[in-house]
Amino acid sequence: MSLDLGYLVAFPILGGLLSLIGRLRLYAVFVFGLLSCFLSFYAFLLSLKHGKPLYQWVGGWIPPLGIGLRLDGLSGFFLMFTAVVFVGVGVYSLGFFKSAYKEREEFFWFFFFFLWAGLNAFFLSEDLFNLYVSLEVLSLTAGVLVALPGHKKAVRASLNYLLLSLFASLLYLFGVAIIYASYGSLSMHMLAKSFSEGGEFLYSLLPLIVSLSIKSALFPFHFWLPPAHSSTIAPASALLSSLVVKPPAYLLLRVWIEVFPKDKSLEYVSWVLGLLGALAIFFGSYYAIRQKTIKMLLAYSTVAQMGYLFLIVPLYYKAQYAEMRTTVIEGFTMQAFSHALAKASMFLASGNAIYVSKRDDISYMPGFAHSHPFTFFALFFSGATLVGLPLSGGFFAKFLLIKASFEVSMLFQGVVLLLGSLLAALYVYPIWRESLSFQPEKIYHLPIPRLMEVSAFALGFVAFSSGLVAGFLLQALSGV
Amino acid sequence: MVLSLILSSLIASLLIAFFKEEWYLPRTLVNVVAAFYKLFVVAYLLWATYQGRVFEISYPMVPFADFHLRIDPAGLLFVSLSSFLWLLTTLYAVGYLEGSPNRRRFFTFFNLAVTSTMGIALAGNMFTFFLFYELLTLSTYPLVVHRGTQKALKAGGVYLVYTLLGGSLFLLCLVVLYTLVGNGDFYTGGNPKLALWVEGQPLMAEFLFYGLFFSMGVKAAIFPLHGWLTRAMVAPAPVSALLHAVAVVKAGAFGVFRLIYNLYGVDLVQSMNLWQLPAYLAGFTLLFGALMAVFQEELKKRLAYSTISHLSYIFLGILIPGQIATMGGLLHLVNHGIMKITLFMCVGNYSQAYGAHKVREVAGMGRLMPITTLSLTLASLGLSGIPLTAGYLSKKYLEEGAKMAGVEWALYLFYAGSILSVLYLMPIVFVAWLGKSKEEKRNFPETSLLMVIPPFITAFLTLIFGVFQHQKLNPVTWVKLIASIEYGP
Amino acid sequence: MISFYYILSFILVAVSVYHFIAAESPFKRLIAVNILGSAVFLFFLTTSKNTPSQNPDPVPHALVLTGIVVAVSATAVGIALILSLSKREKDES
Repeated sequence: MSLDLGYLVAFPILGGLLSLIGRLRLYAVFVFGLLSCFLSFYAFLLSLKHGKPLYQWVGGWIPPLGIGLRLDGLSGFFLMFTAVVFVGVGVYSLGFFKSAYKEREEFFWFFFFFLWAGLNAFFLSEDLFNLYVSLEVLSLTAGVLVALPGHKKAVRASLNYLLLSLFASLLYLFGVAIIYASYGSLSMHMLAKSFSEGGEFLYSLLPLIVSLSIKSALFPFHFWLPPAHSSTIAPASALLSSLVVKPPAYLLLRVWIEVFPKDKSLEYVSWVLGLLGALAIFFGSYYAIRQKTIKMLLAYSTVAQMGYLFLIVPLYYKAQYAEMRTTVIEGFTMQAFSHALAKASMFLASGNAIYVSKRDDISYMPGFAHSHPFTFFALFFSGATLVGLPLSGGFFAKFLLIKASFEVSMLFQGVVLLLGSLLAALYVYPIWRESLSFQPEKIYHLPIPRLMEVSAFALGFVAFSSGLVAGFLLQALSGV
Repeated sequence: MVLSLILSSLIASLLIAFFKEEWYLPRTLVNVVAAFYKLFVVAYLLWATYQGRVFEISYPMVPFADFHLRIDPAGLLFVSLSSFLWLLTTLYAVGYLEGSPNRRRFFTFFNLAVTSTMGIALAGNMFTFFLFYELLTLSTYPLVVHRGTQKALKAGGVYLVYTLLGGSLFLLCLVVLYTLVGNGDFYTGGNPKLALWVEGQPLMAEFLFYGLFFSMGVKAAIFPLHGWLTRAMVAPAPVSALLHAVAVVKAGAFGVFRLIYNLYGVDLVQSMNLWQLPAYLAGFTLLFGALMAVFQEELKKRLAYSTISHLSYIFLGILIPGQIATMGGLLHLVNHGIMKITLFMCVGNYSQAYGAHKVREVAGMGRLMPITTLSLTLASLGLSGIPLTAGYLSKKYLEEGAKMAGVEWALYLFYAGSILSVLYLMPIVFVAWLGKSKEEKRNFPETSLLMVIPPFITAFLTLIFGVFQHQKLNPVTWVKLIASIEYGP
Repeated sequence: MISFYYILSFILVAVSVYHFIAAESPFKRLIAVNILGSAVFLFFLTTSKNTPSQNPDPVPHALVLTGIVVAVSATAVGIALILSLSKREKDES
């Protein structure tokens, strides 16, 4: 079994280019969507089977000039769930563009595939500069996706997001340059060796961490996220909120666990990030609870859910022993995975709600449980996943992380995780209540296209029931 | 075999989720077939387990905890109770919900709730138990708010607050269990690894026990945590009947049974005196629930308070040391389930047929709905502990157990509870038979046959179990088996 | 001499960060991002003198070239968005 990892980036790009040709569009979407999805799953299975990391140098050029790609349990897992979300959102979009925004469809698929390519490239990249390029691909495509509806609000949100994101990317590059100046290498596994010899990398921490926090909307840099994610069309919101914020957090985990040595000053940095993560959970949930429109609520919930990925940074510092490390990585990936699926499902379902009620106030979505059961099931299961109720992937994430925090006696993290899930219940509850409430005069009878209902439901249901196979999904991570 | 118990209702639930609302017949068919199939499996398992065969499956879910299902006599007791009552309630619900909207959603979640109940009964470790315990919370929420009225939504909110807080406490205890002890498996006679840990950490062990007890107590509606149960009575009658009289509340009681007998072990609980504080609380709840029930005008609320009170009988039976008391507790778990479900179904019939919700309003029902009223009378007699009924039997064991363990106060509480039961149940019976109403008698049957027969069957069972005490098919046999296993021969 | 370039790049970073935060107009902020880009590229190129031998290190040149391409295209997208925004604002008023 072997696989040229370059295909994982090349196929989505090809699909994106072909989708620009009007007549070929749907065929290109089908063929390349399925191919890319198949490749991602194949890569995931390969990482399950292989056990140890698989390195490839694009074109046979070795570092420092060549580009290194690496597939291991962690990247394989991220590739896999990225593909799941893309397939779900893709199926949804097939239905969505039939009914609205028809003139936007040609561009949507192009950016859809480029986003996929950028994410795959990010998760596979092994050297820091290549990561920068992927980050830029992500910012540009995500920026355009935000502007897709074309109204003023969306364009303004997109512009704000794009500028901030470019700024953060350059800060990241600045940090990378500092690292290169001190160590003369950008490849992660080579840096892992040289970092332990000299502490110059600490100078690069400020730009690196600030830029990654901006990109993943860590409190206090979260302000760009709610307008950007809430003003665009449902499939784009789903992609942005579930996937585009994840890579920076993934990179931080990667660098911290694989590259950084056990340096005392890193402990302080980890605590700062952990505290910001806790604040993100509290503020994000607080603002989510106060929102009146479902898309803003979901966007703030993303802020809160991303907080978990930073809350546990102090655990990374402690987790440089094999067993602990596995638990932390497992908790992290499970959280990223279940949030991605659940949030995508939520946004898609909210798109359904807006489709029938023509507005996105939560109080105008009554009776979904009565008129559109599938949309309700999607909201129900994905909501339960966000709260972290059992059987869902979110529960396993929380359980693993709370357990890890108890094991290293950092009770703070455990308590915040528990409070966070209670707060999540507080913002998910209004959605459930409104969709279950029965007011005969306010029931909508407009049918929703089948593809839109089923894809939202499927993502939510997979997110919820993935807990049952958590053991299988996570088994490749112990080798990371 | 083990999986088919869980899957039969899970598959039914998923199938129904995809059925269209108008597909009345396929839905009913799936429901009934699944329920009968489950009952059939249960019958086989009862026989096989009695022969001493063990069924279990497990696979690793996370590195330190398995998904573990196992059939033991205690779990099977709960399984057979709930799957038998599931069949009856499904039939009842088909009749009750006839013509009402959203039956698809109702049966989806109803079957999911039954699935979780099965999982709770069969769980082989605390982790699996917790998974299904919380799934039960989740799947019952849409049932509580099924009607979607403001009142129902409010009750649902209260329900979620109680259960989610309880769930968080449970999660915390679970993490402590799996981090500090490292093992939450259920063993006959207690988990040996936990026993070792308790020696080193007696204080922590005490906290863990109480933490787990209270997180189960939320579902079992023990005194300060009972608020949700009375409010949840806005749910449709089949939900109140099966879930709020049997599945949900008894899942809590059953959890306490697992906690004491299979996790900590009876010996440990006795030697550390862990049972005393919960027992006082249960005793207080017994009196409190019964007293509150006397003053309730609304029938369902009265029954809800009675449930709260009777759950404390079960608790006391499980908590008080000694084989006889344990038998009494478990027996009451079964008997109370059968009797209370009868009462809820009868009350549901009254409200469905004549819109009677309050005690005053059932006047004349004896004439209008004789079979339903007869069932109600039998179950009421049973619940008050009148001789020749199942309720008398379990109370006898409970009183005997309390006497043997030297827990005098519990004995007096049982007497007081019986008197109060008479006080809050007999008025309903008297008003129904002797009261006068202006309503015209309708044609026989009283209401849909599907709603008259299930309560009649359970009421009849109340009598059968009470009269034929020494038959092999009486739950007493099974309860004896469990007690002898847990206490050793 | 080398430290002069380093100091210059730090000054440029500071200037651009200040203007990025302080400026109201999106166009000014886009310029600030470009200045930050120049500063980072300058810094990166300066590090190529860091080799023990006399020859400069070619890697930073290659990377900066890539970076410039990315920055140019990003600027193009930014300008397109700014234009479309101002057009929409004009249409409204």
